Amino acid sequence: MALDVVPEYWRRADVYLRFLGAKCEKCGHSVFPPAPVCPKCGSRTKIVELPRGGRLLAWTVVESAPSEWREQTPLIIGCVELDDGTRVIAQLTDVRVDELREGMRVRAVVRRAPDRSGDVIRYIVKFVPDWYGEEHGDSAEEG
Amino acid sequence: MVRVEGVGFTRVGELWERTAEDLLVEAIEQCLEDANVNRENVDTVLLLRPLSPHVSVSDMKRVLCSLLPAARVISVDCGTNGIEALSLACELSSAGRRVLMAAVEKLGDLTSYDQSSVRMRALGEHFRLMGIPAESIHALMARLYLRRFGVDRRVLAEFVSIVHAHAVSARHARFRFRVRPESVLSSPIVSDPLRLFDFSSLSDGSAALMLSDGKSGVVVRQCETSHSAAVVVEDASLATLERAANRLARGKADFYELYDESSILALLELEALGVCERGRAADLVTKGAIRLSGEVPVCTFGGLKARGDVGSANTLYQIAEATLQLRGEAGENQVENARRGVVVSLHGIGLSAGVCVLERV
Repeated sequence: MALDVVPEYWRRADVYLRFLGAKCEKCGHSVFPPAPVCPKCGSRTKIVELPRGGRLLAWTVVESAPSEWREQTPLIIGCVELDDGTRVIAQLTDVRVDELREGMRVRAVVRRAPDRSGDVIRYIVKFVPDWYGEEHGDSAEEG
Repeated sequence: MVRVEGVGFTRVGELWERTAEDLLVEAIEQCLEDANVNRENVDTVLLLRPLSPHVSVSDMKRVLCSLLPAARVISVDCGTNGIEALSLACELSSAGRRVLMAAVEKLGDLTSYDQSSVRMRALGEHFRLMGIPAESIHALMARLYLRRFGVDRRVLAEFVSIVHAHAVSARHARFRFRVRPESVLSSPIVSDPLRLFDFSSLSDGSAALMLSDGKSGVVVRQCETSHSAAVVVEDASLATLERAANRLARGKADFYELYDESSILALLELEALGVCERGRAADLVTKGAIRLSGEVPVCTFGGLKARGDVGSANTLYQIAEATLQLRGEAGENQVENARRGVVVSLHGIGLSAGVCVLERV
């Protein structure tokens, strides 16, 4: 696939807009982005909407990024375990590096990708801290 | 029994003055001479598709058709896992064909940002759209590995220092100088905890191998490959390489030509190959076992890190270097009594992995 090509991105846009993954019909393993065949057991998968909440397992700060992302540096890249156990690698945003903690709650959001061709607006999934999620429900009203 | 009849390779570096065609012809002519094979006697050429966006396969094929008029020229797209192509070459050789494998890269022409982009593309389009650089995957694996096994960050720097020492006497290497661990630890951060000197540098170069089912040459004992549909970082291991290595016949090797695209990958490869237990590769580094004079010498001409990272040509350089070791022609880099060597190839940080065993018989 070439996501630079408009029809190809259009076909897959829901993966990012609705945060779709694939769940194995046999072993239950789920992956993001979706794959037609389970990477673990080779059985067919079905498309599922993934839970948006999860925990941060590890992160790194990229100081020297590829040309496509050069203007967005530094990039924070995290490995997240979603609430259903799916592992996702994605950028973290709206957070300072010194605020990151192993195991902290994060949630998936949809953000605009940098313009590359100008022919279509592309969206991707990033994670933000879930400051006011279920574990911090009381403090949400206090801001 | 498939054998490596001859090898040829150019110097690795930023070879501004040289075109890809020049480099390719130099490597092939050297290979023909080394194998003592007439150019009319090559049956098949497997040209490994370059990663470099500025090297045209059609242009390279034109050169090959003129240089090797009797050969059927086929381009093979295996990314940087050249062992996939080697498996094919071995099948063709077993069927009686004399096969020349060739690869050329001009990656040194790219800016560092574009080089990073080339590495990201190897992971697939999803990673490119999502803005997940390959360097960040290496870094996440390093962070998880160091934490899980309580390994000191300095061990990765010591690995770099050792392979650079191997490159000092390697005439074709790009970085023929020593590097102290302190220099690695003070080089600019690329993706923490990994720094500039933890990564290989994409370079220019060309290499060629001649394979046949003949009576002389180093034997290709076994080739195994394995693939994965997903990039997995959380285990801080290389499952695909482990799967491929598990299919190898048992037996200790005298040296290992690793795919050290980053310092952390080299450690993970030693563990995936079963050279040591999980989490113990650091011990091999700190006690110097990976030096040329050690128990498990690695990257005997500097590896990707110090010889230079030649993208699609890496595997051919590694096999050529292993061949020199097994022939006893490695000069100052010779591993004593080298009879069996292992070569590792990876593409997309282990999305595809290959391992092959070469032997002096």
